[in-house]
Amino acid sequence: MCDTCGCGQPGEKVTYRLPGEKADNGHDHPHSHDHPHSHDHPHPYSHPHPHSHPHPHDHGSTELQVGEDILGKNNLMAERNRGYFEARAITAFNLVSSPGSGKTTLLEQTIARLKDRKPFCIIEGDQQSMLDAERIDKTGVPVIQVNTGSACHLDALMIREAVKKLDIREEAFLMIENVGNLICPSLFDLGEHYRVVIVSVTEGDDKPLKYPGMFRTSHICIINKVDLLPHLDSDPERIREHALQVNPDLRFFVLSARTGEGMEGWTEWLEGL
Amino acid sequence: MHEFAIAKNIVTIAEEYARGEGKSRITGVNLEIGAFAGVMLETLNYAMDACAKDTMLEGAEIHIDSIEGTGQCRDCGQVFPLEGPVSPCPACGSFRFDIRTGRELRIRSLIVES
Repeated sequence: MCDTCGCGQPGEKVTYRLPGEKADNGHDHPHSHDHPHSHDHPHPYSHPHPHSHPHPHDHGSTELQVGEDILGKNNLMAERNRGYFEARAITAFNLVSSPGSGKTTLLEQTIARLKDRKPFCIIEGDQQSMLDAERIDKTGVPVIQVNTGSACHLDALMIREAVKKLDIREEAFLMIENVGNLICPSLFDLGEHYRVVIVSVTEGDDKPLKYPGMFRTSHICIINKVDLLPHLDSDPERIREHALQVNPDLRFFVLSARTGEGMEGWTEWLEGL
Repeated sequence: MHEFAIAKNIVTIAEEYARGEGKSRITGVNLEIGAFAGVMLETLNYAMDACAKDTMLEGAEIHIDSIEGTGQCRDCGQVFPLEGPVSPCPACGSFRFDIRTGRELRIRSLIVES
């Protein structure tokens, strides 16, 4: 049993729904957690206290009005990151996806095609290991690996700390490869200009409907691994339709990072920014 | 899951507010969580239990007001309750809407003692 999230403990509610059954709050949640956690990254806050307290009691309980956004600190830090990027004409991208959708290969191939025309800087996010950063390092562009330990997402403070250690040139493309996870990163603004959700054709065409939060908060959707279509029943057009139902503003690129098919559309769009 | 990050934030914000008012104990936390905030309420309750240990909030009662999702249709302007993240407009059938309520993640108030 996981000591921190308690999966397997009695009393934990898991919901199972047959087709057509109404959701309870719309939150369906698979039972098995298999990631360790306890985040320990500190969040140094400076915090004003403007609240008025209508009931001055000397003893007993009182109600203290707060009215504060729980993710307010992250959002504030994200806006500071955004301001820093804008001041230096840096375009920041937050690449999100399930594990294994092809984020790192997409990055490698994008860098290979554009690095002579555009400065790149990469932030790699994973729970453990330097493996992805080492792959990017071979392309010759600056990269830093953030290991979150047990955290399942990057947040704005991590980006700020990572950026401090990087010397990002003005007008660079800063590409942030988030931890592979289609749920948690959707809540955490990093200060990016573009959130790019990558889904591969092996994942099931209904993916956007099952993970609407991520697709709704993204700007770009890349449908990857189309070289595998002859072996699958997948239809990229169906993925696109489902994604548009969740977010009608998404812009799409359909490609194979591995073979290069469709990469030109993506790199041309990047160059035109 | 990210509910632990959220619970830790709640503890930090609550303790700062309480300290600012000279209080040393928090016995209740009133939260507003939108139906589409991406937070699983049972998991958040569990995470709060774990994160409140050895803090001012240990043993505090957590009360969550769940806020219903409403959307506004981009094509006809109709405001309607959202049944899910993919909700056609009941007036014109369009899937293009902006979320008006349902994404809240807020601490409304604390019950504190000196």
